Amino acid sequence: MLDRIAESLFWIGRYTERAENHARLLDVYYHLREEGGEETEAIWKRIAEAIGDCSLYEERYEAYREREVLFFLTLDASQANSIVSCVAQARDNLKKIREQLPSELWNLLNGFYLWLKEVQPEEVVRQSPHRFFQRVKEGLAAFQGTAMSLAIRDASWHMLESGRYLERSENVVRLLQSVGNIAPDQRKGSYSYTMAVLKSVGGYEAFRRLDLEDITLEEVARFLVLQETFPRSIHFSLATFDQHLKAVRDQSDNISSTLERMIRLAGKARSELGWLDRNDITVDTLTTVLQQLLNTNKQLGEAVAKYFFSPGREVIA
Amino acid sequence: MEMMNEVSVTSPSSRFYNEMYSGAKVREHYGKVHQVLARMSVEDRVARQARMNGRLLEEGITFTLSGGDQPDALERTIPFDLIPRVIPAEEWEMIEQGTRQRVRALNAFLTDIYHEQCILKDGLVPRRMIMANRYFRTEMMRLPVPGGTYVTASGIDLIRDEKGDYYVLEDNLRSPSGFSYVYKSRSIMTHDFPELYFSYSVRGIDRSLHDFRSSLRNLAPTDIAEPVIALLTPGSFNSAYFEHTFLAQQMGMELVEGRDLVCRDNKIYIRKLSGLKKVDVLYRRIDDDYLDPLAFRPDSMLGVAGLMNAYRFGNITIANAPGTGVADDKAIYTFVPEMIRYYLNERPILNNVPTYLMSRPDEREHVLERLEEMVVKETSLSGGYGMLVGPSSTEWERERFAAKIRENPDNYIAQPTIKLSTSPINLDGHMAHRHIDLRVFAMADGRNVHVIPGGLTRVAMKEGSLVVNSSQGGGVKDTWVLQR
Repeated sequence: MLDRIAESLFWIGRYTERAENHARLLDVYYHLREEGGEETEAIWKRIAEAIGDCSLYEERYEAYREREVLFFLTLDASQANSIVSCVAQARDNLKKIREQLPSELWNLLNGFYLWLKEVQPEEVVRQSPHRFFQRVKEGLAAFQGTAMSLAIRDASWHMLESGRYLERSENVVRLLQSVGNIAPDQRKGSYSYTMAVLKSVGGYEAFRRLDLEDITLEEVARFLVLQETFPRSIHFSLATFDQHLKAVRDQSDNISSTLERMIRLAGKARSELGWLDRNDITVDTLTTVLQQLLNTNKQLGEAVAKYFFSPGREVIA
Repeated sequence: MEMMNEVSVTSPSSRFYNEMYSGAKVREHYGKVHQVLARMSVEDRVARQARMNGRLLEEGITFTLSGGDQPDALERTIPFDLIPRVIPAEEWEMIEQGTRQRVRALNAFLTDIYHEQCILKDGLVPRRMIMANRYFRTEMMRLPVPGGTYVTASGIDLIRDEKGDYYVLEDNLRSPSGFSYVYKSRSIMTHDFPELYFSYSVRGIDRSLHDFRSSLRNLAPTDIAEPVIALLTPGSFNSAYFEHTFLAQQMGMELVEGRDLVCRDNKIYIRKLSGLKKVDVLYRRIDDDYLDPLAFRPDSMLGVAGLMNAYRFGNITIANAPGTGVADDKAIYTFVPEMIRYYLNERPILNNVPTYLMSRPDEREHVLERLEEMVVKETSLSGGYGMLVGPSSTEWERERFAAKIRENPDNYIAQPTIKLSTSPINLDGHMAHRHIDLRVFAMADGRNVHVIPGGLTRVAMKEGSLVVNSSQGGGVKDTWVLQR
């Protein structure tokens, strides 16, 4: 595999995962109204914060209102983190290397992108945003599912998947941070927020199945950080990321030191999570724990970027 | 039924050969096409066409127009027409034989030009026309090429005159494109118009991709079991990038850009994450000029420094070989029938369009007197650029062209305005007639020449227009060769 191809694959994984996470989060947050709680402005601000760049938003709009925030986060192609931008980035990356993956995948992603590009903000609001987010999730799930069923399990598959899982772990950290940042005195009553976090990663039922009782921020954070069996927990994501990296290493003939370093780094993060006791995550330590996890994710992201950085063109002729 | 009435009203004028109609009568081999179409309502035809267009877009079968800096806006799908072009078996046999013959002769010509130059010594082709040709590569002189094959993939453009006789309009021997449209057109017809497709027995084209791959494989410099074949593309911003990805994927080749390759010890390697992988055959889709900055244009970022040395050492095959452009030059074209007689001692099966060389004074004067009837082309340009189409030109354009011809006669040729045949197309559910041509693809590997049954029918979508190039808004049709 060429390094530019590896890079594109990694980013396809990242961007499709990111788009899915955004859709899930927005879907849940949108339908959430605190009973008699916050002002609407604050709600929309929190949603914008969880995904987008608030300073950019504030530059463009005066206040946090439903329509603007929704547009900003979903269909605004000039905002690098909107759903449509993520899908466009994934598609552009795939376009460059489309001979590497089954052509059905390209047809799916391109068709999905063409549909998304044409969606009007009015339609989203009028036809219930839930339907829209549903359609986004389905489009991405079709891509993921087809990849699962058709792609050869070679290094390119592992590259795609490692991008996906690194992105997932980072997204969950940020999600927890966005609720963790609610002032502690308001947090007590924010049952519905905690619930929303859990639901946005599709974890509510899993949480119940594991007989976990209290839906408190602490419990939910413990669940999303530590629960090894839940595929959207940070522990699961980093463990899977680690596995895919190792698979990349096992399939290549000469081992690069950067890749080795990445694997060590991922292994370290994973074992640290393994050592973390559920009592280590409390209301007071949550911020620190999350910050540490975010740093780990960043380090891993940088290591990957460095791994792809092609050494200059050499000519020996 | 409504369609038939409509057709007899707009029955194509007899000035051109119509593929489907002979007068008001439907030609036999188009019988079922006509029947199926006539049974559909206008809405059906519109809907069917829309579905096909949607598929083109969804599958990203696009090309990019050059000269823009908004990549998104300029991504176009090529117009696709649902009425197929049907070629009867006997007609095809002649085309296939003729194409094989022509490709063999052109290859013999290139071998000769880059070695003994007998054809120049015998005075059949003026030496000046070769030596001054911008596509002539002195670097290729006396260089043995693998399999003796200069032209691996070629595209021969054919047209039909008012009597329906086939003529060769030009040869494309550098890096002809359009293969992917042949395959995608077929896939669209079989999936979205199966009732029509399966009512005929059409010769399949899937095997040809396999033949193409074997042609490239057979050119590998050593007889190792699994030679590595790579397709060299200029990158994802190139107008034909879709085609490159298509071919690479369908034939299992590595798709590489110049920056993915590196030269070590006069061998070319792909720079992979897992290490270097040696390339045996390079199917290149970039021009000679950009292949190797050390040998050709020093400012080229698209090629690989050292490639020509590796080639000279016999460590890699380049297909098509550098320097084939000298044989598809529009002026050299006039000599192809001579080449067939000279090298093969055969009578040309496919004729050339009568062509005047502007470098010959009497022919030049003849043309300049009747410029409004002529098509004038610049010898070294393609893609419908640098052309004067006499009948549709203005006085001013003709004057400007006449001046250019006088200034630089070597650069121009002229042909009488060719009467391209017409074929019905489906325009908003109604039938209209447009000019078409046919690009026949041939793959040679030194032993055999394979011809893809059918090829690419290009349509000038503008009424009355004779320019079919996709860069000028031309469309395509699926092309069916009938089984005997």
